[in-house]
Amino acid sequence: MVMAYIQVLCGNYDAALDEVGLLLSIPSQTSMDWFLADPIWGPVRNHPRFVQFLAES
Amino acid sequence: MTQQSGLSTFVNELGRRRVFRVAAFYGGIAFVIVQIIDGTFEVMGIPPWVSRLLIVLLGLGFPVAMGLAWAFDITPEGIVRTKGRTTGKPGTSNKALIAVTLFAVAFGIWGRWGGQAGSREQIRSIAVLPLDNLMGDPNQDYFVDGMHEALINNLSRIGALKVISRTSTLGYRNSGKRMPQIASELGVDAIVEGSVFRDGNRVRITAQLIHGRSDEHLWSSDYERDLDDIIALQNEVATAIAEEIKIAMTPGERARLAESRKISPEAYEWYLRGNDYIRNLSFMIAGRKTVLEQAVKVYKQALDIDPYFAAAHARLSYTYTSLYFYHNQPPEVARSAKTAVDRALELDATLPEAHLALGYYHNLVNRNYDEALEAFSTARSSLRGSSEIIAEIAHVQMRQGQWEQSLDNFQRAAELGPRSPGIQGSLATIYNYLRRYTEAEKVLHHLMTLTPDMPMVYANQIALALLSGGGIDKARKIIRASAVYMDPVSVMGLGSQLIYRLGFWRYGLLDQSPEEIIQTLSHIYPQPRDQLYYFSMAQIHTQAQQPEMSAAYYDSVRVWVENRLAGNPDSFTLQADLGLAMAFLGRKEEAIQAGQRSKELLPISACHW
Repeated sequence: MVMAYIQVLCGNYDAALDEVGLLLSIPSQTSMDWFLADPIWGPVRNHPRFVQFLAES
Repeated sequence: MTQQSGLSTFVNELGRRRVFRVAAFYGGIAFVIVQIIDGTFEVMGIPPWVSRLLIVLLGLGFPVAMGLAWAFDITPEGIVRTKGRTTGKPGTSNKALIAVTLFAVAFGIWGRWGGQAGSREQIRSIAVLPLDNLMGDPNQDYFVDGMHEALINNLSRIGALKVISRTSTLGYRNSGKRMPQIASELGVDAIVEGSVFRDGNRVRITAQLIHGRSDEHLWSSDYERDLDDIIALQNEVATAIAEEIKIAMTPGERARLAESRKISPEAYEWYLRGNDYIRNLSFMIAGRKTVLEQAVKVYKQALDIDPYFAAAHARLSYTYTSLYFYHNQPPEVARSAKTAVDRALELDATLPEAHLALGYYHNLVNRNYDEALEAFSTARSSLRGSSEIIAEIAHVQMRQGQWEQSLDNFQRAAELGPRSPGIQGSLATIYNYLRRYTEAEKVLHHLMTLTPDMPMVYANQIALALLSGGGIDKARKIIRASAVYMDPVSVMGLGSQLIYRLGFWRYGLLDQSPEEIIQTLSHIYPQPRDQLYYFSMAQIHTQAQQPEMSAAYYDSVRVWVENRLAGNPDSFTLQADLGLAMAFLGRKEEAIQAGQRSKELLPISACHW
């Protein structure tokens, strides 16, 4: 979870979304609603992979 | 002759022979005797079996009295045999009389033990309410609470008995609720109430057992011993309760409850004071480190007096483990935890508290989850009904990614701790992990009704709202609701304990201005400050659009963490904190490096939670 935040804060969006994909694939305290509500994830909301995660959720 | 006229003849004959009059007289006398038994025998310390015997004799005496009334009559000439009727069938009347009296006796016995307290023989679950302090000195509360905890622990040794956790009973201290309501809320057959009185070296525990559904007073007794014999006293009370409810015990359970080793009163008092510190930790975040350090001091005082006190070594180990895990203490603290638990096991290899401490050590310090499970399972074999141990097993299984087993155990622990904030909170957390948000909501709603004044409950609800799509508006409503009981600022930083280091500051949930929030946080956050305080201040300044101040606080996080990493470079939490601080500071390479190091130290495959 922390690594996902570090990556998105550093602007490494693909790496951040790799982490998101992993977190969503296992039991974890994350959800697409969580990432949508969090302002830190604002820069990737229009990223195609983020949109895809959203569509799959 | 018709049947109706036969019955009428029989009734007339009962009247002629004064059977009704004798029955009424006997019933009246028996009622008075039963009232005297109920009201005075327990107070006078007469054993319960005496009252039971008398009531049985009264029941058995009823048909005898009816028979005598039928057969004899009191006349001015003395007792004479009643003359039979000249008509009718006496044989039929006699049989009918026997049938009626037997029915009456059977009905009476059922009414006494079947109808009113029919489940007396089926008491399989019990709650021990907080004991009353009869000493009139609140400074002795630690001692009384220690006796309460010991009584629950001792009853928890009995595998066939469901014993409600201590934390679930605390809300009933002076609650004024009636026993049937308490029993229903806790889901138990019976309640134990009691008190503790201590005069110098003499300790007296009074316990009474109350049937949950009927509110019937089943039993009560006093037990008194010298303080150095306190272990025997605690065991004696637990054994008496177990025997009273006729619960099945294994030979091993009996043997453990028959222990009577002497202890050093002075060492034991320090031990109880240490336990008092630990007991009150609960969800305390602010000041927890200080409390743990105090506990270390008093356990050491206990051990200075009695170095062979195994339970004190075990609790000391647990305290060191908590300090290491929750407060980023250097590796020597972890080594102290191991030394203390090894010593506890050396002194008493069968002590469940020692195996529990070993489980904590393996779970939180060296993260050897198989060893942790083994230790907790050993502890559980002696303390079968302990919700705490079941919850710890569930926590380890969660870390191992054994979600089904973990949930199963959390649910079991929640049954034993229906009002335990810690256990109910953990149950809500695993539902969050499994994304079963409706069930998490239900648990948190229940928790809210129990402890509306606990900041962590609101923090959990905010996390759930954000995870489940309730969004920032719902989170804002929750934080406003918390204002009835506390300063909402105290809730905000707790998100860092739930999900990750940043808390909920960035969502702008509070109605206060950033200046007000900063002032409140500075006031309520304990000294010395730690990285969570600096993370909070950094984010609040971001909200206040003061980027320079925000950066200064992130840099304070960096300094704080690097100082501790120097002595503990393999701490995955410190590496994670460093990575986040560096990321906010824009020092990307160092951020990624620290984050990767944190992942290497604790990959998801090694710890799912």
